[in-house]
Amino acid sequence: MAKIQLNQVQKNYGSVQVVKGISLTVEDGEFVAFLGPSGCGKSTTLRMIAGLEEVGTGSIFIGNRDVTRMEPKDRNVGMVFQNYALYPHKTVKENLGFGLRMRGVPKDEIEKRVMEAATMLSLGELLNRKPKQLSGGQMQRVALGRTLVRDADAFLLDEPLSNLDAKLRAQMRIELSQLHRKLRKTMIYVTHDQVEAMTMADRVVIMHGGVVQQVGTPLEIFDKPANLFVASFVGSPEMNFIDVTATQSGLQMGPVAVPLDDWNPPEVGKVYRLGVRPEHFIVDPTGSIEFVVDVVEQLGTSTLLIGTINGSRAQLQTPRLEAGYGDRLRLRVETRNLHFFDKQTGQRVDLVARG
Amino acid sequence: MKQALKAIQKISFWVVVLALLAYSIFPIYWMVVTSFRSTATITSDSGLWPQDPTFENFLGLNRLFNYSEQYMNSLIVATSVTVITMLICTLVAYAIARRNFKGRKTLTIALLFSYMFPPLLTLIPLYVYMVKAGLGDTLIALIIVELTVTMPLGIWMLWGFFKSMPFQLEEAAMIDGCSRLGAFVRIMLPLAKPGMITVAIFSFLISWNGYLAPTVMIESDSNKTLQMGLTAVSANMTSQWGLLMAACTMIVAPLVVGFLLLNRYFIQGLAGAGVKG
Repeated sequence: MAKIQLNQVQKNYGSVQVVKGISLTVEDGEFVAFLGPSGCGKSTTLRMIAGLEEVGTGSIFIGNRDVTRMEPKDRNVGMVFQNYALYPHKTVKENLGFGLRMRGVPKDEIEKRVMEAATMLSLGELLNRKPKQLSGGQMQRVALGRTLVRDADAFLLDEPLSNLDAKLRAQMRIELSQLHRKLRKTMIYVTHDQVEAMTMADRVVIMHGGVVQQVGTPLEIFDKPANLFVASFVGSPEMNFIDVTATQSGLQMGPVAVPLDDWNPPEVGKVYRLGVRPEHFIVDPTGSIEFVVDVVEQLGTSTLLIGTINGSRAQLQTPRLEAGYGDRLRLRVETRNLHFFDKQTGQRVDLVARG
Repeated sequence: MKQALKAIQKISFWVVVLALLAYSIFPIYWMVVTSFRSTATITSDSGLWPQDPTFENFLGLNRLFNYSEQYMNSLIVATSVTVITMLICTLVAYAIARRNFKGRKTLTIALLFSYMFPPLLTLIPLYVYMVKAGLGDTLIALIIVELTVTMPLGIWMLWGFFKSMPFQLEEAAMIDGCSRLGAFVRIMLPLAKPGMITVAIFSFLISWNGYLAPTVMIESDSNKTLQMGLTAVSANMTSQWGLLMAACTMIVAPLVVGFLLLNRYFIQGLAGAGVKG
């Protein structure tokens, strides 16, 4: 058990800087997800923690040990790879026991720990099979088991579910959460799938272009995105963005004035990028925003409407609603569901609480 | 109707297979059978099985020629070539497939380049080199010359093998507690086994069956290889078919045995499928 600390970690490939100085502390027993689009440096960061990638500058600590220049084998971490990387020529049992054998653990102890892990992951009947004879989910479990038996300080998971089909992925998500609760091990989970990050992680680290954009609990990130990137990356369907001018009484959206109750203007007269999540629009005949329907997607319990507000593209998600092409709906938004971003820097601008 | 069609399909399939089998195996069978016929019966006896099997031809070979000495020479050359090829090719192929080093590109192009010339073209220059190096008329020279043919081939084949293996296998092994070398020995080598065995068989075949290189490199009788011995047999014993066939059988025997033992790997190696991602 150990906490993991990254201090100003950087990494270049030739002249390209892929990780631009990351500082982060993952607490002991915490489940942290690195979330970002491909090429954002999340996998590289994980691989630096594992020791598979050399650290450019900066340092990495696992527990109290400086592991920056250590070989992977000396770091005592476990890793699950996207393609599982099970040894094809070994049986499940040998795959599970390999790490222990390499560390010179006595035979009966290996046997005992392999059996424990196999029971925990219900692999009992598969122990004598070769990886080729397993399904994707089973391979995934063996890969997890391999790190489990080792009693590693930290588990590093590199997109472990992305090779599975949707149904199995949902099931493995639950199993992973349960496993984490049982083991209370430090886990770092790399994914580009926001659902995985939001559902499993204690904290989410959002990365983009080799830089950490925001660190927070899933709900903090959803409720208070730190910048435009986080706001547009997290949440599905995607957040709407509209340019607005702040006024004394509310917002000026092109020709339309939107009065807001409970309103403290951030800086009157300044143009902001306003973000509203599709599910935060409320259909209300008295609302001041007009929405022209273009496409209607019926999802059963809810309805997704794609159309325009003031000529700019927008989508909204409401409880089930009958609507058709060309319909005009009136909308309103509660003030607390508005997100303001600086147009130049893209950073979040918080409303000053009235008082 | 449908069943009849299926039966016809099946029958014609087997007819073709058996015909092909007979076509390729019968000459070899005939060679082996003939080598067991005595000189007296060889022209009259034409059954599928020799009337009176005898070892006379095999014993004659050793009495009239240096066959056992040549056998030894061939074994020494073929085994050395195979072992050296395996050792060097595995390491070089792994290095090209996995590590980035200066001259990697040049090396791969050079490998391809070395295929463009018929081996015959380099034989005479190599002979001159060997003589100048004081290795003229030695088995060592022969081994080196055969290596120039087997190594590019071996590296090329094993390179493909290592390339097809996911990086993560080694990385997993390194996290599991292996050094880089340990991961190579414990994980990569066992997985490359079919490829390595294929390369071994190829290099053994090439050096065992080599005729041109020994004729150029070797002069003294005591260093001659089997293939050269065979020419001596066929040149001096034109009508002694039994003797000639015995000589051939002796040459083919180790290859057949080896192939039977290893054919599982051989086919895997040729198919190139060692691991599935």
